[in-house]
Amino acid sequence: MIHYLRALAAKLRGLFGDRRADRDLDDEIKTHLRLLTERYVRQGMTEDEAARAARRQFGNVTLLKEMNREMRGIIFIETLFQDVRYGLWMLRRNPGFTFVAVLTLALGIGANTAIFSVVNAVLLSPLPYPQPERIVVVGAREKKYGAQRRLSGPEFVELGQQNQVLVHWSTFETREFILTGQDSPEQVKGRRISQELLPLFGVSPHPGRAFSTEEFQPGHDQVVLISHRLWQRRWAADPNLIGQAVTLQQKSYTVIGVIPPGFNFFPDTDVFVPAAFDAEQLNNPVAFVFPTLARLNPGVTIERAQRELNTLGSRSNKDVEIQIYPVRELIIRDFRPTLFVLWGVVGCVLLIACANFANLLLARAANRQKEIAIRMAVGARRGRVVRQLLTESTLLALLGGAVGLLFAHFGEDALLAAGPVNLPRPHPNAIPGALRQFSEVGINGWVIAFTFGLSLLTGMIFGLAPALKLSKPDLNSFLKEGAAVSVAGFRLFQGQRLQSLLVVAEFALALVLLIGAGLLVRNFWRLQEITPGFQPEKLLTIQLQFPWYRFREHSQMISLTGRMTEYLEGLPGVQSASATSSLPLIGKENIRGLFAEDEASLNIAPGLNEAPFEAGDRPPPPPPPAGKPVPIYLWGRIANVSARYFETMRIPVKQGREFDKFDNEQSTHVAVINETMARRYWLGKDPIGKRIKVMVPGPNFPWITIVGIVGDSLQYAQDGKTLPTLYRPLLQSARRASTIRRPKRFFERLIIWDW
Amino acid sequence: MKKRIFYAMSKGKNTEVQKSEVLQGTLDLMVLKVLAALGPRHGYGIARRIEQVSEQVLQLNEGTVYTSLLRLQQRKWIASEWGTSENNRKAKYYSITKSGRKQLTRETENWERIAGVIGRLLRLEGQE
Repeated sequence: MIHYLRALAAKLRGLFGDRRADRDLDDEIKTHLRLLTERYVRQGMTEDEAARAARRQFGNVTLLKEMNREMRGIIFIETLFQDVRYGLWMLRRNPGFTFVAVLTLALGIGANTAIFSVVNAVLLSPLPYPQPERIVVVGAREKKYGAQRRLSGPEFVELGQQNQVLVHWSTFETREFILTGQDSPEQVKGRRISQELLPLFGVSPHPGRAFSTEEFQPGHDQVVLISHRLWQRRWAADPNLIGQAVTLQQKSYTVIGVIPPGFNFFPDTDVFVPAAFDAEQLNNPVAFVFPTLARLNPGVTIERAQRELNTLGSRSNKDVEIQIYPVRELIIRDFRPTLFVLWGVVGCVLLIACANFANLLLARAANRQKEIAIRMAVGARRGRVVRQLLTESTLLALLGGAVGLLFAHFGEDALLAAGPVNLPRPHPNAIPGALRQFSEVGINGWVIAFTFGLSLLTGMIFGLAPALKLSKPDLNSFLKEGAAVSVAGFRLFQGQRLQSLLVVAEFALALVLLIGAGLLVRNFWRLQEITPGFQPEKLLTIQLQFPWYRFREHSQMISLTGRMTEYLEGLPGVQSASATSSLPLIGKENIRGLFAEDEASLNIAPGLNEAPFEAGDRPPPPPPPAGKPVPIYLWGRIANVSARYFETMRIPVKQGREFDKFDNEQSTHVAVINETMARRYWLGKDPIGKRIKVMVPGPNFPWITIVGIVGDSLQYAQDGKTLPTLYRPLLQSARRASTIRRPKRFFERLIIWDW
Repeated sequence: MKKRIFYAMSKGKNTEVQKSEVLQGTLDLMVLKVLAALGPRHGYGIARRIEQVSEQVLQLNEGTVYTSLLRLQQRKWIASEWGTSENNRKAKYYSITKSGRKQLTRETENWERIAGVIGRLLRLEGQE
């Protein structure tokens, strides 16, 4: 160990160019001795005698070298090794103290390291793509409503063709695929991607090839790229898979390549198919389905690109502002505040740990007073003693840092799991699970540097006060009382003052944390207290998913739902069962504009029906039919529910009736509204019997008669907000697919009331 | 009071440092003076010159000249340069700098003042 340290010292010397200074001095000494010897030889001595005389006259060569080296500052390092050795010995001798001190600091430093490793990966390191800062997201903002949204088909086409500032203009779309074939069927996440998307990220499939231009034409798009992960898992990385056919959605697709594992922009995606958009999608101005990514041309700033796109965009629609922001923003926007709050909290924890650490050092000071006094009595300068003590505290802190690294290693996973995936309202352009792409979050060089930098600082700063205090012993009293000196013999008052200060600081910090934690608990408690508008006790939910290629007709889904509900209701112990397209508290919304047939019957509280688009990509109303007066625009959340839904949920019917099985395709179209909607649009009036219409692009919708008012149920657990809601009987619900011709996957939720 | 006694009794660095400081200071002054008077010299030459002038009064470990040279160099009072000695050996030549000359003047005055005081003191004591 010592030899190793000496070798290290020598290396350090070499590093600082001191070896040359040593050699120079050697040369000078040799010359000097040679000249002296020659002089004595001239005076008549033999060579041997002369050499001895010369050495005598010159003095101790080793001592000289040593002194010169000390003057050059090398001795600093050697003293450091001495101190480290002694410090380690002291720590071994007090294992209890060492354990507590190291553990205290490890907690503080570990928590900080965990947060830093995420901050480092998410906020500080570049994304793993070529020139990631030039990849941007293009979205739009409805100036009227302040809502952010994706681009519509016409916007995507026009802006992409006309702008001169962005390249690799691309988009994608999420699709679920069911993969069948040799093995068991498997549901995989897929993306339809436009042609420029892979070049945008600088990704080329390997093995295999990328999509050709022709493969983006409808009819030629039966080709697929698969993720490296899926390739390994399902086909054991078989290179012969390329060129073979696989079955997706009961259609044959040819595998043409494998996406390399480094490409994690869509972390959960296993299947990529070409996005061949049809004319209806590209021409639909109210379906905002184009999340748009692009790369800034060289030399173009985001501001310039935004100006140019806005000039282009305002030609067709003055109410829309085009927004461009870096892709990193998109991924971390929702996560950043959480991260900084967490960092603040762990910062407090570290400060508490440090104060504790300093207190531990002070407490130990009483035991070491004697040792220090002796050291100083035999001539150790105060600076030297302080240095020794600082070395010890820094050693402790470094040990704490090392243990903290271990803690951090385990803390990170938990932190990542709390990414924006779990946040209640992700940004409309957000990609689910996108934070996962920072798979390189973990202990790397920067994180280790951060940890040990933090440890060094901690050890130095929080060891300084105890060291200064300890190195100022009252020699007088110590000498008077001799070996029988006791703790009481020291200036306890002074020590106590410092210790009291530390305790006060610790207490204050702990209080801050406590208050923060208290607020969180109170929030949680309030959430528990919220009456959600239904009885969640003994309520079970099942989520069903209908693969669109098996349920091409809406009626198929409805009939299956009906049969399942019937079956469930027949089970012993089940009181009632029902189905809905949208459960409360989930926050999944289908918000639509509404017309009232008899506008005179409305009584809208002023200001209440403005700004309906708070977040998300809900569509603004389509332009009114030409030649007709502009209708009063209402909006509401639409939920399709089957018979006995309100009974099952225990949502009270306040007025009128709820749906029954006779509200079907053949009967009058009916709706039930919640109290919020009744208050908002028919304040003080009776909405029962009034007729309204849901605004959906496409074929005209029938008039719907309001037959009942039910109690409110919360849409979001977080803010206790209730949206005006219109319930429609599931049997009368139109095909949602009519908005877009392509059939979409459709979620239904069954609710069982279990008794 | 007790503290001071304690210092005097201790064998630590304090006494050593004080003792050698006096010596070093004198040696530094001599080295500076030699370089100022005779121009660039190597360590051996400086030692010879001091030996010559001191006329066996001063016993000098010639190695300490190099410590003094390093110290003076660190304070930028002298500069050094590699050259060849009279018998064709590689040798380091030292020369006094501008700030070195200023320091020499200051130190000389200082020395003379103290020497004068001590001399006067010794003469007065002798008369008593």
